[in-house]
Amino acid sequence: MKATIALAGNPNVGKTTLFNALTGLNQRTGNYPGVTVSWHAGTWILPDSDAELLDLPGSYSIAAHSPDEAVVQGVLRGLEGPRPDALLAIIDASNPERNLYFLSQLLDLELPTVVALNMGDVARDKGMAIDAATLARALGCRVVPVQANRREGIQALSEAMQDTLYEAKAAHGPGLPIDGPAAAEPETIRGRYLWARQKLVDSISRSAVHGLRLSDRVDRILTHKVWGVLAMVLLMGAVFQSIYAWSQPVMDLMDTGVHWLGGLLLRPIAPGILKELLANGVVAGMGSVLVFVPQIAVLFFFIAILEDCGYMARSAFLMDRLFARIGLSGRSFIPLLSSFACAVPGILSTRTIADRKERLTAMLVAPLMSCSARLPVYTIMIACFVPGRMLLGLVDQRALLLFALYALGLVVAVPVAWLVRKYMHAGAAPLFLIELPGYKWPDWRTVSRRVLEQCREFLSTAGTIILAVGIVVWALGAFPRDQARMAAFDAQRAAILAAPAGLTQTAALKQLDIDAQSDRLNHSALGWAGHAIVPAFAPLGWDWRISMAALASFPAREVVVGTLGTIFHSGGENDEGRLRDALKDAKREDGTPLFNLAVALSLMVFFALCAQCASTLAVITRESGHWGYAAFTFFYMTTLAWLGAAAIYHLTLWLGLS
Amino acid sequence: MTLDKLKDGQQATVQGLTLGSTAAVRLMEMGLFEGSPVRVLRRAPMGDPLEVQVGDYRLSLRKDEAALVRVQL
Amino acid sequence: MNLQAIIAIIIVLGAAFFIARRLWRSAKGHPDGACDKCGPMEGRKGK
Repeated sequence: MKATIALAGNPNVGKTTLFNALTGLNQRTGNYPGVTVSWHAGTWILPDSDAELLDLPGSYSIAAHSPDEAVVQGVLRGLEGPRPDALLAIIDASNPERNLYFLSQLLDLELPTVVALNMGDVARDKGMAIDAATLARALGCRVVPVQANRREGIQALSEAMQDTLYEAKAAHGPGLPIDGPAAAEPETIRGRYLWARQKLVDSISRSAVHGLRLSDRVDRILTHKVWGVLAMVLLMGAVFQSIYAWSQPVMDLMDTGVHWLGGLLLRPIAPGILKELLANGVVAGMGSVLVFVPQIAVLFFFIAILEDCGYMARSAFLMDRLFARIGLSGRSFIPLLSSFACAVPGILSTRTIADRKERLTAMLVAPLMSCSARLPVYTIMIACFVPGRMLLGLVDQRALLLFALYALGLVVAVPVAWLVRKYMHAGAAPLFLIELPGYKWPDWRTVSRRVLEQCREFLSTAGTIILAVGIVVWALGAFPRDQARMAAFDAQRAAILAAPAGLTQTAALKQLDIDAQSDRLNHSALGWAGHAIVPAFAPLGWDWRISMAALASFPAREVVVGTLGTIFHSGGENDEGRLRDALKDAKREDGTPLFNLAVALSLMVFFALCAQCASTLAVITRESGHWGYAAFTFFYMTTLAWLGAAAIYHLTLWLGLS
Repeated sequence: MTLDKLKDGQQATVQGLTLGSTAAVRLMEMGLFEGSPVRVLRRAPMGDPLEVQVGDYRLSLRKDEAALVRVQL
Repeated sequence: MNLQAIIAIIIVLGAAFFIARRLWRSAKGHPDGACDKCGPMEGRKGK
């Protein structure tokens, strides 16, 4: 049977890099049950055997102040299953005392242990050097110097581990308590640090360093009151720009590709209800899932780079004050900022927030950040119903309105976050405490592993739910169908085909298809629902057509423009000019125009504040562990959306602006 | 004198911590215990949090967390 | 009802059932996607 070896160490010491160096491509990932902490395992090929290497989350202590550390404790003390056969502890030579504090706990677990001494280059930079042999004698276990990012020392490390497995001799630490209240006593903690110092005294040598290290020089700028904030704004701007620039073309390509592939695969199937389901339900559903992947990939690419190089901690440092006021912390900055692109990766990235309550709060307000899918709605409404006019000669009021819609989410998020946090009975406020690691070049393998992992997870969890929802919503929009009405349309189709072929015929056929689709939608379950909730939306100035568009866009907000096209008989997104005209010409039953500035504003405000995205709700369910959180999000946001839309509608009318 | 009251650039030695919270335990585990040297490097743009040098590494913590650490110049 | 319709109904009902099951499991505390593999130590219970 394969030996199991656990890899443990502080965060930011190159553990993941070492893990990748030892396991190569033989890696598996998953999640620990009950928490969103992922595990990574792989095969470590030793000189005489193969071993299973388990990469534990980075921790500062076994005392478990976070879900990550609780997992480490669980695995190493054998609480979740059998203990590993051996332990590979990685320590940072440039930060020996704190690393040896954790090591002292690991050694007290009395597992056969090998120590990998990493980051010797950074230590040299700081004027420090640790002699591995001397340290090994002091600790009583093998110590192998490695340079994980250059894959040096791997062979020696494997040999050391093989020998240690053969000997199966337990390691010994200071013999201090590792669990229970005694472990948290100041005497215990100090005792471990004194032990660490004593072990290092003969192995470590320090020389004076002249001048500032590059890392410190960079930090001076990046954490500066003025330059640091400026650098951050520019950096975030560049990230967002890249997201749009890179993911948009890929998304369009994917859209075309999926439809082309769908068409190809479905051709052999006879036209009929199944073909419709597959084409409009399944293929369209898959398309709407896959379209998230480029955004997730690009966003996590940047998040992984920022985290790996050390900048993430600085951004949390700079922004913390703003967030602390509402019960969050600087750690929520990047996740919430990401949500302006798309809430799905934003919510996924809340895993970096150690405090569970803060993480939940951030997840629950993330959808308020106006995501890119809302933009088509804003664009079309503004283009149709908001006249262009320069305000104060400086800015077009349309641009200002767009900005205001984005700001609306942000402004609403503040009191909501504060209330949610308060309700969660804060108790002891969580620690902000963040280590500011030295800057380093990101490791490409670590970054790509992160990106692939997130995409894979999204597809297998949220992706499947979104697809299922897409199918169900399609069914609701396609049934029940009235045979008589369908026959009438078929008759019309036959009449058109009987006439001479040509452009007129093609256009007429197309329009007929649109009309048929619209009619079917109108008489379907979804249509019935749209009509049924009209009284609920009347105070917002909506009629049944707008209500239905809002309902139908639930699985994926992107489809709202297409749905509007269907409902207003003007075709899909390819005919935006026609859609605009159709919207402007739309009339109510009494002949008055359906849309005016007030209605447009109420629609936009509703979309800004409403949680209509099934994907977001699916991800919230997954990451929070219970669908109740997603339900809460849906209800509170829909309520706010309704109130906001109603308010703006009446306000606009009252001010006579329509 | 507590850590949060130090000026930027000042060096001090930790005298002890106000115990009774997981925060205090965590601070000690990170190296802020009796006898440790600590230096305040800078503060964030809005005055909070602080960046401090503890031993061989840097830590960022909020003023109210730093207030748990008693120091002597 | 032809074969197509039957298959379509099965798929739609399957999707609805899938959603319901996911919601039910999340209410019971099962982490999606991980319950099948409750950690890398599975299969070593004999040791």
